[in-house]
Amino acid sequence: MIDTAATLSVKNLTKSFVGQHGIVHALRDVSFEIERGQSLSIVGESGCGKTTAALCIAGLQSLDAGSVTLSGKNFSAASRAEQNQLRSDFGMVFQNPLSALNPRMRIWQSVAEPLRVHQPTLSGEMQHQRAQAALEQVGLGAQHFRAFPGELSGGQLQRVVLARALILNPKLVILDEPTSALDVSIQAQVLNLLQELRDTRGLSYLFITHNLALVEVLTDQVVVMYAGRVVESGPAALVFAKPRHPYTQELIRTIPEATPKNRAAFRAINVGQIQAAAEVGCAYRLRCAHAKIECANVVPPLATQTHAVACLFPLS
Amino acid sequence: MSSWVRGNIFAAISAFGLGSIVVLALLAPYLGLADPTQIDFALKLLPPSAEHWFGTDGLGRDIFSGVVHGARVSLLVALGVVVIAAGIGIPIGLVAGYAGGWLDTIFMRISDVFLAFPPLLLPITLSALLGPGLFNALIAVAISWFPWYARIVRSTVLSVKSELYVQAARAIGTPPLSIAVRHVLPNSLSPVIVQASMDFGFAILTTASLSFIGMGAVPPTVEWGLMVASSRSVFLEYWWTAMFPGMAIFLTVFFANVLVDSVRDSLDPKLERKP
Repeated sequence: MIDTAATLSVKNLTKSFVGQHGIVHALRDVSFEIERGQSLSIVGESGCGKTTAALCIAGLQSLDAGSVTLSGKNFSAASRAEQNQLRSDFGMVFQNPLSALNPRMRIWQSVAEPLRVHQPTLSGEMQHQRAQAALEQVGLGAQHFRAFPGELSGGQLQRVVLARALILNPKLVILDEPTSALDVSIQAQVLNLLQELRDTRGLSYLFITHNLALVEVLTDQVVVMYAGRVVESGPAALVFAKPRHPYTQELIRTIPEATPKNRAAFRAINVGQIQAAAEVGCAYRLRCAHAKIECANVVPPLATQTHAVACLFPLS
Repeated sequence: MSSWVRGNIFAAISAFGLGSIVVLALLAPYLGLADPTQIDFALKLLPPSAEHWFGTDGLGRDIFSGVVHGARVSLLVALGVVVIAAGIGIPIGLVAGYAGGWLDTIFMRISDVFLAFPPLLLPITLSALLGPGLFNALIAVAISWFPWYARIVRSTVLSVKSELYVQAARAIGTPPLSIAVRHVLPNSLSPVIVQASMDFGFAILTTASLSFIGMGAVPPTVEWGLMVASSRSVFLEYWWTAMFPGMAIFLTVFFANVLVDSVRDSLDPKLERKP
């Protein structure tokens, strides 16, 4: 049964926070699945709930409702201790690698931390060896093993974080904005490394990103989020070629081109307005070029098909 | 010596001064000095001379020998105060800050009670309760001071526990106790180390004060505060009886504080390790 189960299955994830201006619904009914060996990206602008989604999936944030299932095992319903056990099934990579590493631990110690936690019987010697092997695999040399995080560059640090995420051989790696703290040439190195690791190890990635170039290169599926809801989802190639939600279309247009012609400029709207609009009707209608009266009355349901869209008047 | 000493003349002088005091204290029994507890009324209240560098006191004891031997006591007591206060305060602050909730409330209200007393009143009250004696004075000061350490650690822990590497450790599945001890504590210690080294000077001062008012060291222990106290009736005419132990207290505290001030910055790992 486990063989056929999806690597990650997320159902009806719901989460709200009490903020300064009332309740903010960060996630409303978010569902998606990652099949074995496949990769998925959650894209959307800042504040759309994608990072909250990652934290909820990783169990770093409690859920209001919904479930997270890892390779057939119910992660979100597990007790704290059981959750900690299940954490060996996925690795996590954060946005800023420098702050994701304990400044007082040597590189190899940070990388060996998952071994220490999940394979406590392993000798210190073995931990050291496995950490070295993991670091070599991401292309870091022996001169870095005993260094402190402050002594390495951003690209090297992101490799360290990746080595840590991969040392237990998980099937899934959750990457929250893995490239946004890196400059462009380093981004390319990291993307190449991610691609290589996926191909050699059959990894699944869950990307949280607004780097759409990364989405195109590295993922099979895309989930587009807006104001806490999934507005469009489907195979990356299809969504990019034929976006059906007006928001997705605008998002794709913001990818910088070599020769920009009509780069879209989003209308600036504050989060409060978006949240208010999301209560009734389509949250995107305030910015949507195609909005009609009906959009204010009905929350558009997400159709259940491979290339799904939550829009009353999808683009064709 | 590292570069900060070379760059800072006051720090260098203080390091040298405090170093000399420590060396003298360590070597005191091997210097061939007069027994600081030896009473000889034939020699009482002699002014400083080649024979008695700092003169003698009302009971004919050699003051130089007393000052040197007193350094052993003062330095050891100060170290004990700081170590015990930090030893109690650090775990309490760590638990309160990391666990939060009712544990935090209980620990912090208890420390509020301690902090509500005027600084010297609590040590005096506690040593009065425990009875005179240097060890009791040490305990009294340490107990009065541990809430400061708990407070400092707690506030650092509160900011450190929201760091990304702590979240990363949670994502790995590291158990809470291990996160607190391996990730949060090592990154919360620099302010405590600074505080402890600053308190070192004040600990000398406070125990000397306690001894001075009769709440600390009791004879025949040789202690600076006690030496100043025993000169009370004679020091207007025989200045050296109060002057030299007093100077010893002043210089040790002064050197310690100047040194700490200049060391403080170099304790920050972020400043140190940036390439």
